[in-house]
Amino acid sequence: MSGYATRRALSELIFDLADSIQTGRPGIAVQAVSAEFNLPVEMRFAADVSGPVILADFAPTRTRTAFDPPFGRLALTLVRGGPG
Amino acid sequence: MSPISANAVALEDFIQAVQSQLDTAQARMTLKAQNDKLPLTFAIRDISMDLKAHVEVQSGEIRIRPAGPADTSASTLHVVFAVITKPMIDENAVQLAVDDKDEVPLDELGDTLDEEERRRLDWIGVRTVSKLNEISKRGLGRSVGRITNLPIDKLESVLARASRPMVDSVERDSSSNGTDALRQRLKLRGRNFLKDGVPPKIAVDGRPVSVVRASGDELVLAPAADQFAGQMSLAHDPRATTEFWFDESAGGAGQREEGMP
Repeated sequence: MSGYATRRALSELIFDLADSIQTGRPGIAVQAVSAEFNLPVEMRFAADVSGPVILADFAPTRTRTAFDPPFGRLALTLVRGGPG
Repeated sequence: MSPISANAVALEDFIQAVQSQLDTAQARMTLKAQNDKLPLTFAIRDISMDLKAHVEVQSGEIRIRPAGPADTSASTLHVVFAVITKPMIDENAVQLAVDDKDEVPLDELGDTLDEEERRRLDWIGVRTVSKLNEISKRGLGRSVGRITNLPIDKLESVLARASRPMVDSVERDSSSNGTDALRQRLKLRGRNFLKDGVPPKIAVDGRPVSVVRASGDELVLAPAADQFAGQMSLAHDPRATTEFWFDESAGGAGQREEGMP
């Protein structure tokens, strides 16, 4: 096993991806209305009091070794809409 | 939070965990947009995941275990989630009526259900006693037991307990009319007093008490003169009897002590 651990919950990864493309500056007429991500991610399970938690994060290194777990894949489509 | 990647997780727990985290992510995006006063924000339309994992069956339950390093024989689990709309939910879900006055959280059933069992019921939207009653009335107990992995006898016991009479207050009835004036009444307020339109069997110190009037949340009883104090029991179902001590006798009016099972 590698010397690092995947610590970020899937929800945090998704939020960070969405937040990174959020450009709310006024006066900009053209804005992104949707985004598609297809990413290799490391996925693991953890547990808290409410049950299992999915940990998913980018690989911290560019190269893989025999000591690293295999990548999973995350495909995510975000569309712009009202905040509700 | 501690990694347990070496352990297998039930497939349904995995699905529920992903759904929960998608909800969390969406809620954070919405809150941030509202706090930043943004007119629009991004929403998740669909998400798919490929997870390298081993699939196992334990006690009839499908469990998955993430693949480890140099693990070449793992399966690939491909899961797709897409946003479903409220009309789609309404179209496909079992309709359960909501009765506000009976919205008592399952927590109030005491230790009948442990935290894990309450969580499994919560997954299917059963959070209140009235929802459990509705399930019982519709004969869905077996289906719910299968979905939530709750043993059917446990669920039936919980359902019986959930539908037992629950007493909030006992007092002498001061509204007796002229013909009844010679005989004192007892008025009980609470819930679950009618089951299929029939009041529960009621006894004080083991002797039956007549029911004069009954509704879902109120009972008027005609006890004998020596039955204004003692241990009262109410039961629709002998497996789930409600018992408590009370004292509405002249010398001890107003005292009541819980003794419910």
